[in-house]
Amino acid sequence: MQLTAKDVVVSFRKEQQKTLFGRERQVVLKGVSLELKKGESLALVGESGSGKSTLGRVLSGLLKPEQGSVCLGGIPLYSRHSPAEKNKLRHKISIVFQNYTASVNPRVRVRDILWESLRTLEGMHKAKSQQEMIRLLEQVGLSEEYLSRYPHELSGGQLQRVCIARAVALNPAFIVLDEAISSLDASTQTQVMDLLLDLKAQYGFSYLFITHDLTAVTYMCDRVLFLYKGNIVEKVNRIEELPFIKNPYAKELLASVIHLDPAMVG
Amino acid sequence: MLKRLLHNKMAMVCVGFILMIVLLGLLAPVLAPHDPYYNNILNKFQAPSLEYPLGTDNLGRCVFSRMLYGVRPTLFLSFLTMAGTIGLGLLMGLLAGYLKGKVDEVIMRIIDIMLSFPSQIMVLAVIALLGVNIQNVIIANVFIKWAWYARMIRTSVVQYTDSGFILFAKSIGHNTPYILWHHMLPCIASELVVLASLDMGWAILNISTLSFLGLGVQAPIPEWGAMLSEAKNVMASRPEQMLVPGVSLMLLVAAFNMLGDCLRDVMDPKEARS
Amino acid sequence: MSTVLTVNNLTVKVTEKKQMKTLVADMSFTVAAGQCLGILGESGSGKSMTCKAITGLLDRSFHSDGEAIFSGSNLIGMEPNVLRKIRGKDICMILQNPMTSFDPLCRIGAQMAEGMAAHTELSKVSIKERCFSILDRMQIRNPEEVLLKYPHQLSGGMLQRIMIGMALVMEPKLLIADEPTTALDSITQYSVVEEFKKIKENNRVGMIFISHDLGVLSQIADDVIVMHNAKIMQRGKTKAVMTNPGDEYTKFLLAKKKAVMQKFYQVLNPGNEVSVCS
Repeated sequence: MQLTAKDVVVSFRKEQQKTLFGRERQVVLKGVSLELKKGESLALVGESGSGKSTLGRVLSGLLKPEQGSVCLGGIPLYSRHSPAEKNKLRHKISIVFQNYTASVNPRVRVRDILWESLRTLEGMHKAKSQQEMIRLLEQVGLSEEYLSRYPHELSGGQLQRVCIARAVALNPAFIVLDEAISSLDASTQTQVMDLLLDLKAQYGFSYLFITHDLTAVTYMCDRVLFLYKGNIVEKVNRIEELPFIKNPYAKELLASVIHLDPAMVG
Repeated sequence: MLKRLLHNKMAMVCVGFILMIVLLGLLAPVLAPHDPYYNNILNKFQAPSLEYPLGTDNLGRCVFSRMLYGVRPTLFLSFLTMAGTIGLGLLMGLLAGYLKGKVDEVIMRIIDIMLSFPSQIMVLAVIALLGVNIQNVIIANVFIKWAWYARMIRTSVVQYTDSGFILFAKSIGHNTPYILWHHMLPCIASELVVLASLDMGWAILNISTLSFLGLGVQAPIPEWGAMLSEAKNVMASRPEQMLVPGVSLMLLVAAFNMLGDCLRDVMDPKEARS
Repeated sequence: MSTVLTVNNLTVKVTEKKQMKTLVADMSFTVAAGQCLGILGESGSGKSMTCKAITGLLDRSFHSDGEAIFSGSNLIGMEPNVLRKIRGKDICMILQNPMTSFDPLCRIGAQMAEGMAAHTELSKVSIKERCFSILDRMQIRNPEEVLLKYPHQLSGGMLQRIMIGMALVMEPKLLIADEPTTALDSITQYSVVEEFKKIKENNRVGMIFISHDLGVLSQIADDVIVMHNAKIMQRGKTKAVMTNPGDEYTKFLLAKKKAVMQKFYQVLNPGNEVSVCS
């Protein structure tokens, strides 16, 4: 099953218009095409304002593009679906956001956060869900006692793990990770990346890993797309080809990686 | 959060006072020493005594009993008005804020129109149209105030619509009613409660004002505003008649306003360091 | 090398839910002029609290004990008014999020001038000249335009550089940078780190650089302190700590960072055995 996007264009109405009832729009994505195959990890690299988060939302079914199409297994995501098609599309794409504190309802416990995902699965009922929740938590490295906690009682890393568990609970084919590790501490970032790699090995998820950090890209991903001001400026089809990129922006990104090198210090 | 409310002394005083008034109103038949309608001209303008705890009014009726029975129209009608206003305003605000697009535009234009009319005049106009009785008073008030609530609620809803957890719920395919009920409502509940308690004061004063003008509760039904109206007739000769209903109204409205302030403090996330 | 700041037995506690919680336990360190001390720690380790306690930015629910000797006086427990005069002039802080460090309703030029007017006796003309020189130093083009802009019209990287410029123009003795690169994108992170390197080379200012990223600290810090759960786990010259960690926690942090960097270098230099931190 493939996730493909073709010539996606997204624009937003500009806040500052030149005329009274002006219709000027700010184009955020200028005709982006990509494909994500089953079991692979694709990195979408860009800085703020490049449109990468917007692309993530378009691909996960949350934002309808003005032009272009997004298809999952051949079925277009943003058109009317027959019941058979709806069934096929259900739960295939999941998303994990950067801001884990805003991603969960602060008034509900972890148990209810997970239940919200689980209840949409067929054949799931409250009794069975308890076991399933414990299994999910253990998979992301948390124990059963976390079920009764509130989000503000968890650390950043723990809360992000809950968000990952919530996304995995649906048994999706694709998971969009929208800067999912950027807000975490360095060592927690590595631990969460290890977790994601484990889950991928176990379940065969495909990841769309949106980030601006190239070291995370080399750690986690097989292919890379560089996004600059709404356009894909460089495609790297195998991670080994990363040193040979030609686009000047992509090269600048590569050169700006901060090295672990105390020899630089006097 | 409830704990913080319980610790806030001012809030507890206000809640206690309001509950006491409610209780007095509910138990009026039991507590009132006299029939509020029973008039005896010979007994008029009696000073407070053991038999008449707060004295009598211009028709010889016991002021205390009328005050107790008067809680019912004053408070309960206000509650009813608030319920209607909030219900309608909540529904419209949720729909406008969450669904956006054309639905939002249409609802907002209706709200704009409703808000451009001066509220008091509108209430009077509606009553003039529909006739003077209690139901129409409530209908008129709901008709005016729902737009204000709808706009406030829409703002809050728009704020929360883009939060991560709403987006996630959308992405896994939950339908709109589920999201509105499970996520949106608890989020805006705190803001709503603050607005409502601050507005109760307005509702009480409104019902009282209309009764004062003779357009709300009709004589001889006891109601604090109506009692004020009757007292104004003898303002020069018997100013103390205005004292009891006037001060009670003031205290009740003040209690609701202060409760609203306390609730706002309690729900302030910066105070949430639990 | 003259010592700018000496901290002895600094302890910070906070009363939470009627219990005393220790946020910083018995910290001691020194910062010399022209040298950079790096504080490495994760969220909740107490690294930011240390510096906030030194500069007097904690409110009354926090209790600080110990000494922080700066120019002969102890900053802990100093009169707030006296401390306020030192803060912003002799000790400058650069905070994490440049977007929120500026008032969104005032123009940049006005905010830069504000700080200078509060601490110096300069005339308006000289203040404006100094603003231009700051922007020039930070290689920001079109200084006149930039001074008239509002914070939201500039990028995070530019705002952070302006922050650094504002701090430097006061010619402080001590510069405290609290995770200045964490909220920025890669390219801007790199340029801000380069900026700090230049500061070290050119100025005689003592620096404290707080971060959770070992990579950034390895580039800029001469000495490093590793904090975990309010305590110092490890201290020493950066190179020494990184080649020979000593305690378990530092080993753990180092191992995690190395794993990521190793993979990165492998991809960039296939076939060559690259050992990180050689």
